[in-house]
Amino acid sequence: MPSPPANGTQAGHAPVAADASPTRALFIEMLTRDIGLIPAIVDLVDNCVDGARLLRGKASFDDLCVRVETSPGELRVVDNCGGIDADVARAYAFRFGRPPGAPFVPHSIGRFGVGMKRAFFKVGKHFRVQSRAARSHFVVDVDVEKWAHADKSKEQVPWEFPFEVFEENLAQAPEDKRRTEITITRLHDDVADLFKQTSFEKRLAAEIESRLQTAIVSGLAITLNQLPVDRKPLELLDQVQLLPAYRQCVYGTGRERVTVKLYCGLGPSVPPELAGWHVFCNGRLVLKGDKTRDTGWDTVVVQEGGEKIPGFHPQFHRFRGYAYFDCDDAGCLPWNTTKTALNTDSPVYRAVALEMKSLMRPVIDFLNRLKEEKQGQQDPGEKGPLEILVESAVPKPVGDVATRSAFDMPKVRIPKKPKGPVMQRIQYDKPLEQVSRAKLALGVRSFKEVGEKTFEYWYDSECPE
Amino acid sequence: MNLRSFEKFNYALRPAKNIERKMMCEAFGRLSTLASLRRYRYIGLGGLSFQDFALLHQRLGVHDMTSIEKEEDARERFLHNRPYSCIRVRWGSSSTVLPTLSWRKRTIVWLDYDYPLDDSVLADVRTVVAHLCSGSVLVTTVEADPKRVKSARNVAKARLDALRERVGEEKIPRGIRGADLRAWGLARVCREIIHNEIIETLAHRNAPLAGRWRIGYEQLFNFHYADGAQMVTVGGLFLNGADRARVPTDHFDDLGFVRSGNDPYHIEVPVLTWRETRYLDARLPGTAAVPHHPSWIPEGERRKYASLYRYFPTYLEAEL
Repeated sequence: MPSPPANGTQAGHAPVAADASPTRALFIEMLTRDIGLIPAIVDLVDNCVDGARLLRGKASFDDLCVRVETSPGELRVVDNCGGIDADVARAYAFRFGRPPGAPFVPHSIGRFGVGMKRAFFKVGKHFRVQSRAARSHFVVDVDVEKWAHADKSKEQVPWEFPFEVFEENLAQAPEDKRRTEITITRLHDDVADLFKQTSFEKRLAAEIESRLQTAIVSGLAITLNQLPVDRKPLELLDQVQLLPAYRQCVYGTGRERVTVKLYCGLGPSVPPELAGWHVFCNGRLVLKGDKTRDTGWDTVVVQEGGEKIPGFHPQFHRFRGYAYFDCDDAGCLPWNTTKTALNTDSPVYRAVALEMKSLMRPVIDFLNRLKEEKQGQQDPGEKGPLEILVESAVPKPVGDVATRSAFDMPKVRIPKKPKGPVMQRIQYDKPLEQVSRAKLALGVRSFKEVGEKTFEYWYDSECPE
Repeated sequence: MNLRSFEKFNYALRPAKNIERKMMCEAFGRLSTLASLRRYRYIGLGGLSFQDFALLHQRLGVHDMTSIEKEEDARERFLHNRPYSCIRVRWGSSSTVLPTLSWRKRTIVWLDYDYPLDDSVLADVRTVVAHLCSGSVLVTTVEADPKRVKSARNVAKARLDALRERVGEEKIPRGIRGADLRAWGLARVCREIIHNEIIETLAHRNAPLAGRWRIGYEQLFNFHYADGAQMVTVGGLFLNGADRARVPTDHFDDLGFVRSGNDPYHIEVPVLTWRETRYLDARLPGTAAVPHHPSWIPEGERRKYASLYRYFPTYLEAEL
């Protein structure tokens, strides 16, 4: 039997291939489904931070600013972080996904090439991007609904956003004139509703503040509806006997070298949402106060009433862990595309998670001991030596606290509590009628006492001292 | 078979443990192909007798020794009982102390617990495997005695439930049934759980590393013995690519007690008098174990003795 021609066609027929090209509408639906509105907006601010990194490198971001404005009719994000080069805009910035050869920003927080477009689609049905870079200027203006349905015809329509203005080789603009302005209008109804709520504004400010605190510390001024978004520093207790553990790990080489700095110790007991692990990738907060298996909490086991309960418990409210992942190539970092969760299968994260777990254990042991001390006090108002030590400690920003290789139990004199025998709870089920009769015969008031008395009766007769 | 009283050993002397200790010590001596044992560190879990410490110092010259001891209340007594000054005592439970140690030096770690396998044991195994450097050894001993389960209607289920309660459902290998935990079955399953923990931790640790930096694990020990309660000891050597090349593949093969897989080496202590062991010694290595010679010492005891006579302890009562 003759084999089909190698080029996949058969004489006299159409090419042997099924059309698998995506529709634009499907793309929009897929992109926006898995991200919340707030992370999508934070993604837009991430791009401004990457602009600042490209402009200034590791130097200070002083005089650079990002202004975010929300109103029921539009979202505007304006920055003076260098602008987008027209060449970059034409070839890369608006593409879905990051093509090979795209300009490389060391330590960037944008990586996948979807964040900006996804935010446009998530927020509204019309967007306009204007940018003035050093020697170029462009404007892109897109009606999303029209664009989404342009491929309904049978003809192949190229995936493009047309430029309204495109100018190159302009006179060099001074640094403070280089800017990008994004305006999204014709907001989706749910978005417009949220933009009316002050609670939403507060949540957005809190997210920008915590997610981008490294950039804010570097001097980037961010405002939301004209009010500055300030950083509240992450803290650890500074007390010589309670100093946090610090460990640095390095994996890989060259541009793919990932450096990880881990801090693990104690912090203030409030607010509870700050307890847990905080994970940063290139300065961008990915996980905040995580208390799940992702950061090793499944290996923490607490004994309660004779039962082992794994996971986070309220006695760990003072636990603080900070993990800073840093790499020239953002693709080597363990985050997902929405930057709201970790890729826990990433090789680097798997190794680092082991380190995190081992740094945690002495801190967990200490907090368990602190709880035991509190429970052992005769008078609830009385404070034990560990509690006095913890309360005397002052919180300081992470970088300002001295560290050690491992957290160790403080050497304090703990008064011995009188030891009783080790107790064991026994549980069993018996027919109610029998148990009630036993209760009557024993002359006791509770089923608990039935259990105790019958055990004592049996023990005295069968296990003489 | 019911043993007559003269056929029973005085297990208070813990002869199997004594034999196990000496066997492992002999295997540790082979690490000299990687580095002088003088440069190794030993970490053990204390106890008042410090027998493992004394043996490794006497036989191998290990100087850097750390004992982890949780009974801080008896601090002075423990310090007084240290046989050599090079033994440092770190006070606290193994779970508190192990994460605070430095792991830059090649280390022999023996986590010798006198209780059954549980999640805290596995956490200690994880801490050690996550950090020890190439050329190091980790040995773990746990009680693995299925014990008589009284008055439970379903003994097999009760045993499986007890194991599940201690280590958590996800650690129990697939397909294990309660009936598999009788006799030495529990010891086998415990070895498998510890082995899996080591392999899983290494997989995480190695994930971002290039080939030659990856650390492999080679099991050397899988002992079953019972000086009273049934015990299992599992342990092995951790090597990166460079060290692997320095240890011949048959380096431990001539040690008859070395076990690389799930089949254990049973330490079976023969019941023999001192006169009998002297008599057999004079014929070993060689003919002592053959069936017809000498007929007044049971063949089974002779065979057991022949397999471990080099490690067999001699106990004498002495009036000092």
